[in-house]
Amino acid sequence: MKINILIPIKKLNETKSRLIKYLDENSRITLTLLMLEDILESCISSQSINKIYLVSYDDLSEFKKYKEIEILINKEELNKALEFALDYLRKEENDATLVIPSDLPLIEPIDISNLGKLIENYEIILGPSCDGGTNILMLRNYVKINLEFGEGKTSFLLHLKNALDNNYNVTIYSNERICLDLDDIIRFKYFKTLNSNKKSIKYIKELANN
Amino acid sequence: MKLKNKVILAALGGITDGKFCRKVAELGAGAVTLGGIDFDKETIEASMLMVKRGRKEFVIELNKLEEYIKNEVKIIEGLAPVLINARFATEEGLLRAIEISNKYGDIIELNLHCRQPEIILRGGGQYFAFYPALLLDWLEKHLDKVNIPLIIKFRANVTNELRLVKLFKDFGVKIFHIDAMHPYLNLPDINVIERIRNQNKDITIIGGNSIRDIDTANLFLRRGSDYISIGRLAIEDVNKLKTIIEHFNVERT
Repeated sequence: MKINILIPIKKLNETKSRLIKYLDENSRITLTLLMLEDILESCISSQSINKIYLVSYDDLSEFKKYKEIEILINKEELNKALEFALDYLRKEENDATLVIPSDLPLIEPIDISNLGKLIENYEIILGPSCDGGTNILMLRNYVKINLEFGEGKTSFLLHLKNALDNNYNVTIYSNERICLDLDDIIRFKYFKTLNSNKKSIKYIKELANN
Repeated sequence: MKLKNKVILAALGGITDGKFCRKVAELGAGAVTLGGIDFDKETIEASMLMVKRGRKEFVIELNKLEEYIKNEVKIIEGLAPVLINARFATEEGLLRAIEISNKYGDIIELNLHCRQPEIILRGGGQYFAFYPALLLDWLEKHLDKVNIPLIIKFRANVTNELRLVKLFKDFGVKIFHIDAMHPYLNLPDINVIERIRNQNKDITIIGGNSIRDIDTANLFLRRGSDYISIGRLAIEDVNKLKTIIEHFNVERT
């Protein structure tokens, strides 16, 4: 099965806005890019992936060094940008697309590989975030549901409802790595306590020590 | 909680009714589980949809629920303690589960385990493992109404299980039924039982997942389970189940 990954990236100077009180803009941008690198490394080291697409407001030229990555520039709001990217991918050679947020640095190659196996038996896979959002959305190429991502929205249940209302065969994939996106100061402090070799976690420890 | 045998029959949707439980109780199981039973209209609606797509579930109308449970428990009476595995998505459902289980059951098992999307969408089963705050809030108000032992049943490796146990333990829960589902293998994740046991010497653990022989059962017990739960084997091979139950008769050993 040919699986592509799609990672939406917010406008970089607005990234991690809930951490504005604690981190300056440069630190927030660096943290965002390091989290993205952590995710990319997990994706690239997984055997199941065909190609990785970043849909981004910014140019992200630093990621052009990865041959597995294609950058799609889109300056619309998140759901529209994702719909644009999913439409684009439907036209490519592709059986399924895995949408991952860019702030999920704990995701491991085993998660990508598990999802790759699971999607063979389902049409949609959803993974909840610890605050009601959606951290995993995996769709077979022909599947279309309304996207409900957004600040403060309980998008996990909304996506689940949309999937069931459309009679899609859906399942849930969850673990702590998937639930924990870096979205607020509580999780920032929790990430600081983790024993991990991830670049973003090391950077969080650095920031916390300064 | 003290049972005469280490083996507990786990809930199997649409299968473990009074008659099925009786058969396993007669083999000498330490306890048997009736259910999962839906205790509110939200979870009943979910079960109806699940049945429509081919799953086995108990679909009992709310106005017939108490009578149903009373009759099913009666079939098992005197043979083994009866756990009632309760699925609910609302405070009203939890209260109904407590009230009926107090009257007819020996132990109530709150289901944070069911991973069927129809149940999760309505805020039941595994939804409470992802987002336990609401259930903790209800338990804070209603735990004193529970007159029988209460079990929290959840699936391993879908959330931070150490945190989950701690949250419920802090609210007074002392028994946990852990489905040691491995994150990617078709084998139980025994390490999860050990991790939970090492940090919680003061709880009772029922461990289960893919137990089909005495060696696996022993592994669960050595790594920290007080009891083991068996589900599928009860359908697949009753003779094997009988052998395991006979081996773990506490009175015999």
